[in-house]
Amino acid sequence: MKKPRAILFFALIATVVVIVKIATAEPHYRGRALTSWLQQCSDMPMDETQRLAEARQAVCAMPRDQVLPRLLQMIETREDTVSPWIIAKCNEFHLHFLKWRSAEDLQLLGIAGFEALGTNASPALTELTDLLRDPGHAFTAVRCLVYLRQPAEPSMCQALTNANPRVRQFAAQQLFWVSDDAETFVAHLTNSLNDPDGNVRFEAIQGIGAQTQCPDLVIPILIRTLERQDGNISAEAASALAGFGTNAMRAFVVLSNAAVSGNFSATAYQAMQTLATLAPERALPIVLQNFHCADRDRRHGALLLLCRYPLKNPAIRSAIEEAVRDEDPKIAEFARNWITGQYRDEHSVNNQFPNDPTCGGKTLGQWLEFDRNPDGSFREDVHDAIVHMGTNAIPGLLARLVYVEPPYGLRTPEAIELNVRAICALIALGRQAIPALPQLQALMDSTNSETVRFAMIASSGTGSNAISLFLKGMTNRFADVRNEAAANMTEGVGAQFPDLRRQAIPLFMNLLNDPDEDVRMNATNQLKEIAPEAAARAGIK
Amino acid sequence: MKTHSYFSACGRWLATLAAVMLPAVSALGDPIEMPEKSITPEISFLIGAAIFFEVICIWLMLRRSRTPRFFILWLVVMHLITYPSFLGSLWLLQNLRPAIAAGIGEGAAVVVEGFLIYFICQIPSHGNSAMATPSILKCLSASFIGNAVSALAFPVFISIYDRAF
Repeated sequence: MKKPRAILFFALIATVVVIVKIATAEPHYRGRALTSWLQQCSDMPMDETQRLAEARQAVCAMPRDQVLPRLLQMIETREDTVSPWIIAKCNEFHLHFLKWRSAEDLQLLGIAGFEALGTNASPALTELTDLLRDPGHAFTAVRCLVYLRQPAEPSMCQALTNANPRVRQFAAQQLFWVSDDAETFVAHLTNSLNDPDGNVRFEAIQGIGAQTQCPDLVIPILIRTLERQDGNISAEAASALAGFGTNAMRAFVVLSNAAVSGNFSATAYQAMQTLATLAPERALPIVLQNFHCADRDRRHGALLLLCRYPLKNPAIRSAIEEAVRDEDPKIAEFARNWITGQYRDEHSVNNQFPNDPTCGGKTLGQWLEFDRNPDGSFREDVHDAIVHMGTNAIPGLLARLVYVEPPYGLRTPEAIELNVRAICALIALGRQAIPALPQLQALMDSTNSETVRFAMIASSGTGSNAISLFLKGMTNRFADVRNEAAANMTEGVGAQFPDLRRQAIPLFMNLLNDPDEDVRMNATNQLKEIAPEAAARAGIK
Repeated sequence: MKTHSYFSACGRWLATLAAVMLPAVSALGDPIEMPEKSITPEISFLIGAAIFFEVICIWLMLRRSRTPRFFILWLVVMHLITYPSFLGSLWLLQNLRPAIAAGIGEGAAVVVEGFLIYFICQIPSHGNSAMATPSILKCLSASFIGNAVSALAFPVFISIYDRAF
């Protein structure tokens, strides 16, 4: 028995030693493996600066000759057929104590490692450059190369001609980080302007356009690209010219041509915008010419630009006012909204209600401007002020209840906010709001559904008097008013006066056949709650 | 007395094994995360079925050799130690690709189980004492084939389970 025992013992020891050796093969720092630190680098959001710095410091503190081979091993990982199955099954059976990583996860950890090491990872330059030739790893390699900064410039330039357009695009986008000399940088990216892939060309022109310190080198390239009429690439060239200030005035003619000729496109719009930035006065006739042409898109583009034009003059104002009558509803609506916004900026809302009562030195309008509680009710002091103003506040509140923004009478979000504050104030008045009921009743016949709904809800504070408005609402022509009125019979006013709401039962029976599905459904539910026996008779289970 | 000393020897072996394993667990340095809930009955059943296949396979391979009484029971008890150790080795190797870690873990299981089977077969037998005890090579082969059958059967069981539920 002794021999077998010894064999068994050594077999066990050898197996354990081998597994532990493999498991602990990674470099460690402060008792944690490299992978664990890399996971921290990868998982940390950028705002967790302290933990991110701690992890990056740990990666840098480990021996580089051990870290770099492991990082390269990670980014070279390929997905096999068995591993995804194992990972999927471990997740399916909740074996979360086994934290497997997919090949992509490992590649991301590798990239995080290169980011942490930065220029310290330059000994891996040759291996990373070689990986650019591997179609499966070229993108990961170029992502790592960018962290090596200047030493990686030749490799990044090599990546600009990679077979994979994604690699070329990334290289064009990030080349800036590895280039010291702007002229060389522009020269490299100029070649990419002939790339067959549009995204690569776009990144190239964006990179070139950002070199505002080399106007003599860059502006001719931008002009050539603009003349090429290459979709969003030409548009980006037109946009970039704006960054060169007066130096770009030599492009004025090309920009003017782009703004007025051919079909209206992003390039034409950008050209117009750049012209307006470079020389607003000289550009105005071009913009107005676009505004008065028959092409709807061109008119719309010109209007957008006129609305935020650097200059303000009567010609611009009258052009925008003219747009209100445009045959295109989108253009007309945009113009109306813009003019309404301008009017709002120039005229305080409270000035439109000159006869407001005051309380505690503040007008009704000023009290209503205070922030409301999260449930929509007023703060206690505002509530008390409104109650104190009492019936004097009613005219101002009724005017606000039906307020629409001048000059076109738009019910904008700002107007609706004012309407809602008036509703809340009328409810806060309680029975003091009873004198307002005749006007509210009259508003119930309005042709605007929101006005009807607001009037009906505003009556809620008047107690049993409000029931008649809600009953009237249940027969209103607008479905949303009928719906609101029906809902209030169980939850709002109706719940406070269960005897009075019995008058609503015949109306509910009618609503069961309402043309609107939501109203029918609501009526069914309400009727079951208010009058179960009537609901049963109507065949509702 | 002999039986008593045998079990105490076994206890010492297990204690030694635990002592060797403990520093290995702490070597990774990361806190161990407990599973959200105990391993589901479904996976336990599937693992149990795969182990049963392995045990039957080993028993069939060694049926013409001298084995102790309740040999199948011995093999089942052996898996109560080796299967958790296999999971432990997977946990230790989780920085590797799952396929490689599972391969290393299975390889280690073949070696350890082979030696354990050899050790079990040395236990005095009452029924088949005329037969020769299996060689270490035969035990390792039985362990290899048993583990291979079990490793192949497990995905099959899982796909049956996936189709059934």
